Amino acid sequence: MGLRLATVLILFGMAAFLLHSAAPVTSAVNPASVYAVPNSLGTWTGSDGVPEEVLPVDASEKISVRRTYRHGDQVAWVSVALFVGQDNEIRRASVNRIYPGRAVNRIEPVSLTAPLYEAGTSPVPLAAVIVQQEGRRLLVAYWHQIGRRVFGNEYSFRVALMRDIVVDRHADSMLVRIAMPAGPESQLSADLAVVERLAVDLYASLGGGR
Amino acid sequence: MNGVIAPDKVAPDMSVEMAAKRVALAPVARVGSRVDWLALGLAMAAAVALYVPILIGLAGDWAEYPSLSHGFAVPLISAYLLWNRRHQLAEAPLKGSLAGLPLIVVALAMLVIGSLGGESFGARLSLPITLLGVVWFLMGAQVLRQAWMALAYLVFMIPLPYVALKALTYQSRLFDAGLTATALGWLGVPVLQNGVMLHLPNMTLEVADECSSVPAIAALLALGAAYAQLQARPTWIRAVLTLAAAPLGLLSNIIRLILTSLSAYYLGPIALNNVIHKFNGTSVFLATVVLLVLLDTCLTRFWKRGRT
Repeated sequence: MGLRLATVLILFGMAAFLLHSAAPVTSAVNPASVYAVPNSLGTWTGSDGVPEEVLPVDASEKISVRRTYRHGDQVAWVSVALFVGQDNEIRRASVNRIYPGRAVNRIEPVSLTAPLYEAGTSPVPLAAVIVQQEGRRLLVAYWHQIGRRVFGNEYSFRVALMRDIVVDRHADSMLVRIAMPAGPESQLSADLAVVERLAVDLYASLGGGR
Repeated sequence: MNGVIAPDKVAPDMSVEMAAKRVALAPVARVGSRVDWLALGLAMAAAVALYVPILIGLAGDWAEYPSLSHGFAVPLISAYLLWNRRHQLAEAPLKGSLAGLPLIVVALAMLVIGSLGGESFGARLSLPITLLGVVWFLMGAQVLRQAWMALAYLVFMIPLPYVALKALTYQSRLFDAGLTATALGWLGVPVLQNGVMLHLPNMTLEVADECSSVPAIAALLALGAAYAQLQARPTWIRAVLTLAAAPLGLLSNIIRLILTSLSAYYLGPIALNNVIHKFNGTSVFLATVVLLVLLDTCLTRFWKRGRT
């Protein structure tokens, strides 16, 4: 019994040592990449600000750049937010604050991929939903970005972030969102093509900080 | 016999001597002494000390979110379940098992990776696994057999990961709204369902996140498991009662939504300010207890009738 008890206590001691001797988490992503959101995206021209009811602001973001882009009578809203110190769970991007959550009738996931990486690589799946509210439909596409790596899936992002925190002791990421009014169901593929184009231009301008 | 001594040809005194040697060499299972239990207590105290930051975080969540407040009761119920088994534990043969060691190592790896990586669910989940591993390693399978239920019960104090909870909650809202609209139609109330919105002639109701039964599922499962352990029952009734708590909770919530919608239709907005709607978690919890007791009565009668 004595040997077994000693084994248990030694294992507990090792775990406590690992927990208390870990290097502090540092910020690595250059916030300048957030400010790299351009004034114009392709043929779209931008102005500052995005209505809160379209893309909510997350209280735990450190900084964000929010722009409204117009092209003829079309409008699109873009928000790029930086989240730092996400080893602290309360500072993470909340899934509640990605698209409008209140007075929403229905949220339908839609399939969207975009050729964000260099030519020859396969398109990246992005998260996208149609948010149906009274009197309007909103198409919201978004992804999490760590450096230049893009994650359209919440779970793979969390795993990659955990790996970054444990191994590299970095806990920063960006949440990139693009929203635009969505037409009827028959027009969905055209709307998705517009968002895909905007996503490619936006990703190219963001660069990645590491 | 080709030189092999047949067992019946062995002299009786020689056979007894060999058997005695065999017994002396084999590991002996014995009832735990006070020192053994003190050693286990010391290991458990060390585990609690190691998990202090995790426990503080858990208590903070229980205090902050009403749907998680059952977490305060879980360790007490777990302790009660252990106390209930004290005689069996005292009589259980003690024979520590090496099989518990990998379990402790895996649990501690979950704690370290989860804590350093900021994923609290994994770190929190490692606590009951560590305790199970320690009991298995120090005291053996017979003691673990008596204690596992109480230790595993601690899982109910751990909130689900938020990302998974959010997706489940939305699906549950759609499901709840659909069933409520169908029931209202049967009851003669004109209603148009659009996603999670219920359009009544006089107002529109939203089945909001707080109206979903998903946040309360863990509490209801914990309730079912604790209720099932309260009395001596056949294992199958215990399993049914434990598993039935979640669907009964869903049913209670649907009934609450139907009653709220009916009163909103007949009485107007004042119905949304009533006690049942304001304390929706409590009302669903109480209704689930009533349904569990009814189910228990039915199952026990069925079982007794089968025996006679």
